Order: sequence, then structure tokens, then C-alpha cells
Amino acid sequence: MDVFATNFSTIDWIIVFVYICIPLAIGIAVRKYIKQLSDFVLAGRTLRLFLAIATMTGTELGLVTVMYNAELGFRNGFSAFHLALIEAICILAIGLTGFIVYRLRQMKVMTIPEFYEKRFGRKTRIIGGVILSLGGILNMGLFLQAGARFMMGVTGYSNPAGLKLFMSAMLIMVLIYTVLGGMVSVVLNDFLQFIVLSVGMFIGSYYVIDRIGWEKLFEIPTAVNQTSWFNPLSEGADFGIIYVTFMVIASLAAGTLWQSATLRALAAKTPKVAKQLYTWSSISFMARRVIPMLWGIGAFIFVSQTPNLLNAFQGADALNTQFGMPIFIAKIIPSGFLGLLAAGMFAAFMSTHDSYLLSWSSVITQDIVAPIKKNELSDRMRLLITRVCIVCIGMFLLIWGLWFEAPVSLWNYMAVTGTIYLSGAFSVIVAGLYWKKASSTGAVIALFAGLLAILGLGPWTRGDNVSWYFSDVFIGVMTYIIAFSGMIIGSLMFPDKKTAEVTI
Amino acid sequence: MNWAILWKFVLIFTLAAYSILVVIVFFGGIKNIIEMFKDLSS
Repeated sequence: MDVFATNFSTIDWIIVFVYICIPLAIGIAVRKYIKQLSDFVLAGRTLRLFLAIATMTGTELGLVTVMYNAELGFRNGFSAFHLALIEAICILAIGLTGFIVYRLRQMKVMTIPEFYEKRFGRKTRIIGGVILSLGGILNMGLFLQAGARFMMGVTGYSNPAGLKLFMSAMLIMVLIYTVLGGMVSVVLNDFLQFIVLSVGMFIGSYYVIDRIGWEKLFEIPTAVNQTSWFNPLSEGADFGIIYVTFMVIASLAAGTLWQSATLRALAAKTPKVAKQLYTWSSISFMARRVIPMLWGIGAFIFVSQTPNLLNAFQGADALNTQFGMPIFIAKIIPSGFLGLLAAGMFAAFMSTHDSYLLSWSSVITQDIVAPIKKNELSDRMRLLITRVCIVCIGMFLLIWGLWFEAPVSLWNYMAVTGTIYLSGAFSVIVAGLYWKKASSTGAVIALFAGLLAILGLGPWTRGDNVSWYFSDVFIGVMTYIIAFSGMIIGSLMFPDKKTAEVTI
Repeated sequence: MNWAILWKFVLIFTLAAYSILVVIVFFGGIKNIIEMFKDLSS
């Protein structure tokens, strides 16, 4: 069997091309509703529950999410499911308690660093804004590459240059409708994309279970470690207790403070809707991991039963494991349905990009440029700067995505770059909201401590025999601990002369 | 602890719960879109 053989045909290309033109039309149509920055960034804070759930899911379930979760399933089997369980429980807990998000929505802030200024002063806001944009933009740096790999696997078109050009064209379309319609356009597209994406995911799951067989799915393939296929804590598993600890902290921090997700809570009509949004979204957060992991597991079982495919993923010139899932589904899903699934995945690609572009550009405008200008910028000027930033970030992504090679595990890259911002932000927000003695010096120390996470991307974290204290996961956990300690020690040693009164 | 049974339950629960969520959000979302445009127009 040819590795890149596929059922993808002309009808599938037509379905995909027709679908990706729709968002552009929506962006142009809703432009008249954008009168001020809060309309552009927060859709005028008019989001009601169901639309908020759709847009939250559309944002947090991107093509890159599908790719890294499928890769985890392909490499680790069912033991990867623990990530889904951890994330769903954390999101549910946030929804039920309103931890952080309820208070932030009450305060009517537009971005996380805006809270920094209210609580700790302008300097903290600018530092927080810089670190947030650095971590966030780096975090989405590999989205394009993962998307290109998906396309290669599904279409069977193995010329990387051509595919990257195709992905670039899609990114440009996202730029156009995001620049034109802002959050209103993003919300409508996310709703459409939520539906298309979900239908695609159900179709994909049906064919995976049908091809492998329900009972066979739960049999351990002979080519893998018998216990680690199911047990994430077993010896020989890629995970272990440090990894699980890292994921619990990261899920809680990302759930409450990842700007693109938090933006949905901040755009919610009331603080109560923000809480309900998280409670309901715990289901979609679970699905965004479990379903792609299922595809990855099916892909590995399929590959392990097909000798020439198994050979392609072994040895010195082995294919990247990200190819496992797309190559598999391209062979088992019939033409027509494959086009629908690809359209669903493109929907995921676009709905994540639009929201991330909007998030990071609004942070640069509101939290870096405006405070430096001492808030003398008009609303019109802020809108212009936000739009220019969207285009600049898009250009950076094109360049970064085209030349930077993905580390061994895409998810670990995502987790580490996310930690650059999240570790500091989580410490600062928790202390700022719930501890009266939290000081601006402690906040600045915590934010800078987050930069330690960059060490998790170093060459010393690669290879098979890396000591546990040099692993990216251990560095990630330590970054959270150091940031939190920095916040506490800094606040106790250098208290603020006057504690800011935070108005809720 | 039987991990296989746990993950089997997680998979079934996710597929079932997500199916229901998609149906609810589809109909509720259309209503919300109409309301959002009313808000933005006023």
C-alpha cells in the first residue's frame, strides 16, 4: 500500500474551496456593525450562552489541536486520554466555582493585562502585555506547519512547497475577514465552523470505529509497550507523575487565563453567562482531545497491521508521527465525506487563527501601545493599530511556520510556549484577586520568572536519555513553582505603599 | 484499577455528550445570533 495513497478527489477539493469562501462574505457583511473598539474586540459584550459555547469551542478546537492530540494518541495510545479527563475536570471546576473568570468579567476588563494595571499599575501591565504577546505568538508559530502536514496526509499531495502556499492563502483569507469584521465576524464564523467541524468529527469517528472494530480498538497492538498503552503512570510511559502534575497546573491556568478563551468569558453578556460558558464547555474541551486521540489510536492500530506503513514510521528516515492520523483517515473515509471532513478541519484552522490573531493584536494595542502613549489614543486609532497588528502577526506566522522545524512532540512545544505567559499570569491573577498583600514587585518577578519556560525548548530536552530534571516537562513545572514563589516572596519583601482598590 | 474500562467509558461519554451539546448549541446559537444583531443595531 502506497503511504500517501488517498481517497481525496476533485469533488473533495470543490467542497473545500466552496466552504472557505463563506467566511470572507461574512467578514464583509458584518463590517457595518463595527463602530468602536469594544465592538471589534468583544462584539459589544453581547455574547449569549450558546453562541459563546460555539465560539469558545471553535477557537479552542483548531486544526493544530486535532493534530497534536492525534499525535499523542498515535504515540501513546489510550493513556493519552488522561489529558482529556484532566482538562475537562479543570474547566468544569472553573465553571462551577467561577474561579477567576467571574471576577474578571465583573470588572469589565478587555484583556488580562488590563487587570494588571488596575491592581498593580501601568508598568506591570506593559511587562505583562509584552510577555503575553511573546508567548502567545510563539505558541501559534507552528499552526501553519501542522496544518500543512494534515493537508499532505489527507490529499496525498506530497509537495511541501505547494501545500505551504495553499495554507498561506488560507491564512490571508483569515486575515481579511478578521481585519474587516473583528469579533462579530469571528463569532459568526466560529458558529458556522463549530457545526461543520463537529459534523466532520462525527463522520471521522464513525469510519475509524467501523474500520478498526469496537473490540479491536481496545486490544493492545503487539508493537507497543503493553502496560503504557492504557496506564499513563506506568513505567515506560511517556507521561508519569511529573507530566500529570504539569498538565493539571497548565490546564487550570490555561482554562482561566488563555487570552483567546478568556476573551469569550469577557465578551459574555453577564458574569453568570461566563460561568455557565465554562460549565458547558467542559464537554467540548473533552471532545477536542478524545476524538482526535481516537483517530490517532486507530491510525496506529491500522499502521501496525500494515507492514510497509509501519516501516515508513520506523528507522532513520521515519515519517513525522503527525502524519499518522491524516494518512490513515485519507485511506478509510470515502470521497465526498473526506471533503466534508477536510472542510471541517479547515474550519478549525480558520476559527483558531482568527481568534488568536484578534487576541494578541488587541493585547499589543491595549496593553503595550496605549499605556506607553499614556492612554491618549483615540478609539479610531486603537482600531487601526489593532488591524495593523493582525496583519503583522499574520506575516510573522507565515515566515516562522515556513522555516521553523517542529520539535519532536507538537503538544510539548505548545505547552512550553504557553507556560512563558501562563506561569506568571496565573500567579499574578490568583494573588491579585484573592490576596490583599500581593504587590507590584511580586507581580513583576512572577511575570519575568515565566520566561524561564523558554529553557524547555532547548536542545538539552531532546533525545531518548534525557535526565528528568532536564526535561521540558520538569522545566515547565519548575517555572510555575518559581513564578508563584516569586509572587509571594516579592510581595512580602517589597509591599506596595498603597494597595490598589480594585473596583468590581 | 482497570484503565481499559475507564477509557472505554470516557470515549462513550464524550461521543454521547458532545452529540447532545452540538444539537443544543445549534438551535440555541441561531436564536443568540438574532439577539446579538438586535443589540448591535440598537
